[in-house]
Amino acid sequence: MTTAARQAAIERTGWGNGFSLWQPRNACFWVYAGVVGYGLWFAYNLVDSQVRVYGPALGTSALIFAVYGLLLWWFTARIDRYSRQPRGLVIAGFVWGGLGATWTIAVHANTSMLHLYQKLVSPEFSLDWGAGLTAPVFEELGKGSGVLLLMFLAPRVVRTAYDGFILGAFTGLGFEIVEDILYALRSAPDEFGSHQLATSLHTDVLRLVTGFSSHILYSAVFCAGLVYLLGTPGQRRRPVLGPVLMLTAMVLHFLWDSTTALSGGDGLVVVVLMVVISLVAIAIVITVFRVTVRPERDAMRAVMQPEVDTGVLTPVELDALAGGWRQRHRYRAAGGLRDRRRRRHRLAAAHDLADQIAKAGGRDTRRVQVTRSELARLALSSPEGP
Amino acid sequence: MTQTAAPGPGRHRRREHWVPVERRLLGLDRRTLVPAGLVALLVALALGILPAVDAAVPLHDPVRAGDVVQVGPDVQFSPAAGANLVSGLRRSTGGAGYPNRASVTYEGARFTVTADRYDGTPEQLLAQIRTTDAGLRGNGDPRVTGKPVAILNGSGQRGVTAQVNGAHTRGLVAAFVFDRTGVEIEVLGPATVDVSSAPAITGMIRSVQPTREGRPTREGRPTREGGGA
Repeated sequence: MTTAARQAAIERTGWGNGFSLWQPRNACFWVYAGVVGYGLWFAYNLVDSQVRVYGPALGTSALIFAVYGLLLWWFTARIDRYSRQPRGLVIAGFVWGGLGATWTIAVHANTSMLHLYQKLVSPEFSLDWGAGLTAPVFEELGKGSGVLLLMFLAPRVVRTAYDGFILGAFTGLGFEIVEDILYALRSAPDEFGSHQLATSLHTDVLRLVTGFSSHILYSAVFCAGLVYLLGTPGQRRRPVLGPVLMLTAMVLHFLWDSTTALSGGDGLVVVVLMVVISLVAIAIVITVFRVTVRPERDAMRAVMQPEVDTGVLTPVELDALAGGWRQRHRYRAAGGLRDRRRRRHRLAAAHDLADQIAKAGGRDTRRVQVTRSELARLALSSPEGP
Repeated sequence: MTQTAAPGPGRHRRREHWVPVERRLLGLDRRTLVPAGLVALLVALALGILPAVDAAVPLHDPVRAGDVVQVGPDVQFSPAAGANLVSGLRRSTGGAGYPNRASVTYEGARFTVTADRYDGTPEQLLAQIRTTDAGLRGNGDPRVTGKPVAILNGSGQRGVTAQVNGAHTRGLVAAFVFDRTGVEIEVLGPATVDVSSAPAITGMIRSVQPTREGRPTREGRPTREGGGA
C-alpha cells in the first residue's frame, strides 16, 4: 500500500476533519438549536416544579446516573478507536439525545399517542401495548433525527456506517441518562412521596441493570442503518440493509417495552423475556459492530502501512492497531509482564500518530514528526526493541 | 501596503463552511433544507399535530350502573352511572394488572382515586398530601386549605377529608388507609360551584373501599382491612 492509498482512506472516512456546530447558513443548525433549546426550557420547568418536594430523590438519582453516564461514555469512546469522531460532534449527539429527543419529541408524541390508543381502541390496549407501539417509533426517530442533522452539519466527518453507529450510541447515551433520571423522579411520588429516596433508588437500580441493553444499543443499530440508507461519499447506499437495521432497532425496542403484556403479567416470564431480549440485542449489536467497523480497520491499515514500510511500526503492531481486542491483547501479552506497559504505550502512540497523519491530510507536518518520534522513543526504551 | 496572513485553522474552517451565493435560499444552504425540513416535520408532529388530534378526539367511556373501577390490586370504587372514565380500568378487565390511579369526570367534577402502599394513619397521609401539594404546585393550583374532618366510607372505615382551593378550582381531598394501602381521593370542580357536596360525589367517595375483605394482616390474623372507626 502507498501514500495514495493513505490519502484515499483519509478522504473516504473523513478522518481528522474538525467540527464546529456554529454554522448560521446551515438550516440543520437552526433546527438543532431550536429543538435543544425547547428541550432545555421544558426540562427546566419540569425540574423547577418538583425540586422543592423531590429534591433529595432528584439529586441522588442525578448523581448516580452522572457516574453511570461517565462509565458508559468511557466505554463508547473506547470503541471509537479508529477514525475517531471529534469531541464536539459526540457532545452534540449526547446533548441532542438528552434534551432534544427526550423533551421536545418523545415526551409529547408518546403522551398524545397513549391518549389516542386509549380513546380510539381501549384503555386496556393503551396500558398493555401503548408504550410498545409508541416509544420505538418516536424515540428511535427522535434520536435518529439528531444524527441526521449531524450528518449534514458535519458532512466531511460523518462518512461511514460506523460513524453513525458511534454517534447513535452517544445520542442514545444522552437519552438513556436523562430518561433514567426522569423515571427516578417519577418514582419519587410513589407511596405518596413518604419514602422518596427508597422508591427512586429502587428504580435507579432497575435502570442501572438494564441500561446498557436499551437506548445506547438501539440507537447505535438504528443510526448505522440511517447512514446505510442515505449513503455518503465514503459509504455507498445500502437501501435494504439500512431500513432493516432501523427496523431491527425498533422491533427490539417494541419487545422490551411490551414484556409485561407479552407475559400476561407473570413476573417470572417478564424476567425471562428481559434476559432473552437483552441477549438477542447484544448479539445483534455485536454483529452490526463487526460489519460496520471493517472499513474503519481497513482505513487504519491503509493510513499506517507506510509507517510499516519505513520501519516506524512492525507488521505485528499494525495488525494490533487495525485489529480487534484479540490482536491487541496478543500483541501486549507477547512481551511478557515486564514489557506489557511499553507495548500498551506503543499502541497508544501509534493511535496518536494515525490521528495526526489524518489531521494533516497525509502530509508530513511537524506534529506528525513529533508523534512519530514518540514511537521511536518508546521503541528505544526496551532492549528488545518493538 | 497590504499584508496577507497565512491561513490558520480558523480561516480553513470558515472556508469549509462557506456557502456560495448560488447555493443559498433565504441565506441558507439549499443542501441542508431537506434534512432540516424532515426533522422540523417530526418535531411539528410531536409537538403540534399529535397533541391537536388528541385534543380533538373526545374521550367517551361512560360508566354504567354496577361498573366497578379497580385501583391497584387492593382498592375499588363505584362511579356514578353516566360518569366518564378518563383513566384507569374497570374491575376484571386488567390484563397485566391495574394502574394505581383512576379518574372519572361527572357533571363538571373530576374524581380521582390514587392507591399505593402507605404505613401510617389517614391523618398522616393527609398531612403528607398537604405538604406535597404545597411544594409541587404554583400559586394558581389547588392546595389543601381546610382542617381535617373525619369521614366514613360505605363499609364503615374511617378517613379524613379537607377542602382544597385554587385560583380556578375548588373541591376536597380525602385520605383513607386500608391495612397498609393508602388511598387519596381528590374531587375538583370549578371555583364557582361546590361539586364535592353533590350526592353522587358523596356516594362515589363512600364507595371507595378495599377489594378483598378479610385479607390476613402481617400477623396472619384475618380482619376487616383498615379497621372501622
